[in-house]
Amino acid sequence: MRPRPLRVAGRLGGFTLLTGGLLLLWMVAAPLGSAPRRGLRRLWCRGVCALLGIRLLIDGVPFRACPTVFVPNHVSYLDIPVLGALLDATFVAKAEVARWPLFGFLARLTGTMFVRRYWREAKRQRDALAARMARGESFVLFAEGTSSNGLDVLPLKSSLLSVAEPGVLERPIAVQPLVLAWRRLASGTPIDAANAELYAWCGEASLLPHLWRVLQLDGVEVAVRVGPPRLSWSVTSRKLLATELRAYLRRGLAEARAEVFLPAASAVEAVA
Amino acid sequence: MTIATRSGTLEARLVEDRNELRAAQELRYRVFFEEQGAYADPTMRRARCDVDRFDEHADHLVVLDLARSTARRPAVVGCYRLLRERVALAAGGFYSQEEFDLGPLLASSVESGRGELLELGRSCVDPAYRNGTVVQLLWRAIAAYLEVHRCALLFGCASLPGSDVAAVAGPIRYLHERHLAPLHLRPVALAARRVAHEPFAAEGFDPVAAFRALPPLLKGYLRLGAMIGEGAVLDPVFDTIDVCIVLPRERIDARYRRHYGAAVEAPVGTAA
Repeated sequence: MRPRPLRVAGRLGGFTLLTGGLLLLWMVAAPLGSAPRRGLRRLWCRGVCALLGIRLLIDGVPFRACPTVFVPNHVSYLDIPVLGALLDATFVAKAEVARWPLFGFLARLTGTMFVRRYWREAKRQRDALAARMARGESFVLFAEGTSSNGLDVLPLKSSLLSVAEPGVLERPIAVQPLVLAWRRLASGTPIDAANAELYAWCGEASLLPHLWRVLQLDGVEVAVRVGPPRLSWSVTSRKLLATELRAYLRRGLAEARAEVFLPAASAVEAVA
Repeated sequence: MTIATRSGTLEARLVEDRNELRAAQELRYRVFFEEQGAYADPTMRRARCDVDRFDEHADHLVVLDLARSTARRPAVVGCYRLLRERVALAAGGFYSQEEFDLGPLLASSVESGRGELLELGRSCVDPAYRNGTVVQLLWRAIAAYLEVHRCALLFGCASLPGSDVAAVAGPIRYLHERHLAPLHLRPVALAARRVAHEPFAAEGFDPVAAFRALPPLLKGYLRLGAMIGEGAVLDPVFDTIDVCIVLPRERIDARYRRHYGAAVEAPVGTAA
């Protein structure tokens, strides 16, 4: 790949302006409650997608009738702006993200819930999640626990999915799978095993070199398929729920990646 | 012309004071929340009373058992909530608009001379009075109400119990195949509430079994000539899957007369 220093400089400049400007508005909007801030967060996510040439094709509308746990497959840190552009929901992230420079700060600022994958913590974290959902908040849970190359879906960790089990929360909630298909590069080249890791950030890859390369890439098309919502009334066990969600995600991912036709224009406008 | 109608000690009419409205809301609470197990928020649970923002605008049709009623404690044994278009528009919309896009129904304005739309909802009957008489009285009164207010079309949400889509795939497919409203009268499920489509095409579809599996209220609407809107939505509070029924006045008239004889023209009863 030919180095693109001008593109990197332009994108970093754009990112600085976007982030700085919205941070300023974020502080000004403090007395107005949470709604304007959620709008700013969404704007930031859309801005980041635009800067990086991430083109979103959204099929479906996220559930909105009650607090919802959205369960996407996890491909990259770039899933955050992609999902943030679409959802009004708080992210659940690994505790180490809180210490990342800048991104950790932004994550803390936007209320991200940090968790540790440690069995002793599981119940306490589940209860903390339940308490926030009881107050009406929705969450994005990367239940794979880590990212993969985006061509398949790892088994889902079910400990936090237990918020949907009977008796945990008094009020009904929903669980909805979201398929993220990083489908093809801006050049039209389909994403497959050979080039998946251009955008997918997984395994042992370190963040900065990967980000540096992403900043030079032309762009990418991401298809998001919003799966069927499921109410907690019908959930009996988190393990079964995790198995069913994963089966849906794998099937949806295979279908979305195979799709050669674009979704209807109206679906794209949902985000525009 | 009055709306009141009587049978034995039972009288159907609109509520006339706060006590009667309160008794209707308590009956709703007993049926929907205690008997059917819907989720009641803490305020409602303390009051043991089902209240929402539409109540203060709507007309409330009740059936009273006069043998058990006193002015202080009216014995409401059945009720229906009636929300007329002019009232609803002034109050910010219909209840069904939280679940369905009513676009086509609202297309020509009531000001242009088309008859009013009437939304029916929150219908329930005390378990001790479920022998058909109360429902008949309610419908006689509704027929008179249509006459008085020159309503052209009835509509409202009807529920199938449980939120497991696969379990109601047959009935929902039956409704769509046999009773789908024509385009100009067809509400459409809101995308952010809608349940998945795929299972509706369930294998081994048996129309007769599907009709039998419908709740009695929905069967009743179909017998009166009701059609349904497109799609079905999840209702997290009631743990139901809802469809939108549409019932143009002229379709009822013919069938209703066959059913209840001359009652439409001359409701029995005295004061209203």
